[in-house]
Amino acid sequence: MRNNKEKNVILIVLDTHRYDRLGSYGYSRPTTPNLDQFASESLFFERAIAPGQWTIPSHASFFTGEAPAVHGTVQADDILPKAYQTLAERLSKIGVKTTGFCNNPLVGVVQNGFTRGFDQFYNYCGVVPSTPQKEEADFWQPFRVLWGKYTQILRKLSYPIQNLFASPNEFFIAALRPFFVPVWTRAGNFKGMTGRSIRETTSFVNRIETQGEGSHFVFLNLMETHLPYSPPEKFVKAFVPYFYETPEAQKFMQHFNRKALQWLIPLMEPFTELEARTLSDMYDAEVAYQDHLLNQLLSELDSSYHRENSLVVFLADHGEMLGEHGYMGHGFGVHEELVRVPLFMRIPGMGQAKRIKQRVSITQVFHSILDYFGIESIAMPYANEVDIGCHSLLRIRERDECPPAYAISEAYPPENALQIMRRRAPELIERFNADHVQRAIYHEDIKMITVEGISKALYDLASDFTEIEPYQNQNQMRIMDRELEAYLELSHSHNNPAPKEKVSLKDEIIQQRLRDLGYLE
Amino acid sequence: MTSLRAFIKKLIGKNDFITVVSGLPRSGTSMMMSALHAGGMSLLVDHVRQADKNNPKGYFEFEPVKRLPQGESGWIKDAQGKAVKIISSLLTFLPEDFHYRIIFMERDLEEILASQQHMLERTGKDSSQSISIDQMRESYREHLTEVSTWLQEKDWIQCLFVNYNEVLCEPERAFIRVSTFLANRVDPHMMPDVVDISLYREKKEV
Repeated sequence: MRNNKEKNVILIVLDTHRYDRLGSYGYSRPTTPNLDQFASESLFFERAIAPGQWTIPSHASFFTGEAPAVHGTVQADDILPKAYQTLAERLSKIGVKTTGFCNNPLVGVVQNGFTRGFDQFYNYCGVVPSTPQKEEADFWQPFRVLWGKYTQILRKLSYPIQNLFASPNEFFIAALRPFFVPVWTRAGNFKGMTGRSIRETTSFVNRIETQGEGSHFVFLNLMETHLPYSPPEKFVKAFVPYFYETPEAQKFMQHFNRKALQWLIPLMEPFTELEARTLSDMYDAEVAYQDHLLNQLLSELDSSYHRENSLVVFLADHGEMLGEHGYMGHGFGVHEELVRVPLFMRIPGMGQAKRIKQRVSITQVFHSILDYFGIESIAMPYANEVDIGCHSLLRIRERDECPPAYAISEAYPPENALQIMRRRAPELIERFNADHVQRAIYHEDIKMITVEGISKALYDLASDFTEIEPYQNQNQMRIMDRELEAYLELSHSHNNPAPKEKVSLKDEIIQQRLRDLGYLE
Repeated sequence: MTSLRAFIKKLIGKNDFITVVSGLPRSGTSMMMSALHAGGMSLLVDHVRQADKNNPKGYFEFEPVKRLPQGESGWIKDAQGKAVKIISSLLTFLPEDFHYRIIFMERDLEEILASQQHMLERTGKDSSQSISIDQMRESYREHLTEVSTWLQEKDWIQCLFVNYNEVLCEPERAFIRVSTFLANRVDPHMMPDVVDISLYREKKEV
């Protein structure tokens, strides 16, 4: 065992994980004993906010430290502009070895730039997963190499096809038909392989401890809590005890797991009581199953080497609506079930655990990891007036007087879901203002939700955490409205920046000349 | 047979390098594209901009190149094993995921400025009133220095600087250098025929 000055970061994304289903966030059911144990030794953020309502904008934000309004990567077929260096790119440049273990096809399979900077990136999802190969020199080694080459070819052929399904087109719409859903969820490994990815990440983390040289950045994305729900029987029995004796519940779940359209768009009709309870309990069973699988990795991370050398971060990219406010999934809205997320981190040498009440954004994880490696990061543009050190969550624990950075969520309507709503349920667009950007901004426990160009409302989360009854306070609304406007103005002035490397286009004279000559649009 | 080989290469994932012909507008990039084509290299072009009096032999351009600053780079993978023309200002927008061999055309700056001015006048877009020739010269000088430094820093780029006048005066020699640089993918003996010294004279006399 080594015990030196190496620094590692293990970033674990619990994709689609609601904060309120963890014991450490007050949930009464025993869904997450392992994560709760880890959280009890961590710097624990009680009010962490996701910058976006779903995978694409959220990952783009904590990978780049920028808000969705700035990086603009908000649709499934958007590509993260190269102007924004990712966490892996930044760390790779200082010699940190970067490895990704990913179960979400929108992060690893779709070629949107999220894998930039990773030395190795393993996809457990998709038609042809790419997983670590055994390196033992035994009889089977040549066959393994051949098999690796073969699957590499298949992957190269399959990725462009799989990319087609990320765009708002006929492929995407056809794939949502109940007949095809089992094809891409099972054969296409839509949710990846949670158990295997955790096992292989555990082995990798163990190798870092026993033989790894230099510093490492390990990224793991877990998708077990994403639809469709089909947890092992043991967990169903524990969390959905009535399931096997209730044919209606089984039938509902069987249908719902095939109705991918319903995962994406608001509900046409509210769930019945049984449907709502079954869905919620099956979600709990998935949460518990994932927690059970994580025990292996958490045990490995409990070693003295990792306690002294590895910053371990758990977060969710977004939560999940399970029928609340008429929403399902994570396509629309900025309600707490969706944008308030779990976030906790164990920092080497941190001493006592601490709970932070201040509202923070998971975008700040980017700044925190760079801070851990001693790399300077630029401030989030919409928080120019806030002390730059405060963007690093590592410093929050040392400096209680830090003024809060803005924690803002933005929900840009996913174009692929909108397109299908236009065809199949156009009435929902108007009913939910689904084609308008929604935003949430907070002032302590007061939250303002805006629907761009339509409405704005305040909610007092201290007394109404379900955001049912609007809170009337015109003065407060004016203040928060001004803040949101300032944020948008600053964000828009910072988006699509000309990076330092883009030397010539900054020169307006040359740009003008090139346009005149027909060499630029 | 060639297409079968290309298909097999694609299958086994052996990514070919991308040949980029670059430089300032009117530095001889179209001539070099034409020469590469004569030498047997496939070009990534769409002929949207047709040949005209400014470039009687054609521009050899690919329109999506102009949208590189907007992040439109999905077409790059199609340029593997081919040559594509990208003016120097857009080089820095190339994705790092590929290997590039850049033939950077150099030409006397006064000749470039004169040729550009002539082109602008022909197309009715004379901007000399708003941008002085001194401003333009200074901007181009700074730009060329910056691009040259940038090219040297990138390990995913190999670059060969080719002087326009050298191509006109000693085309055989110049194209042998080019062929060597491109791992003998082009036949240097087929390339000199495209050099039309009369066009050069016309432009210089402007």
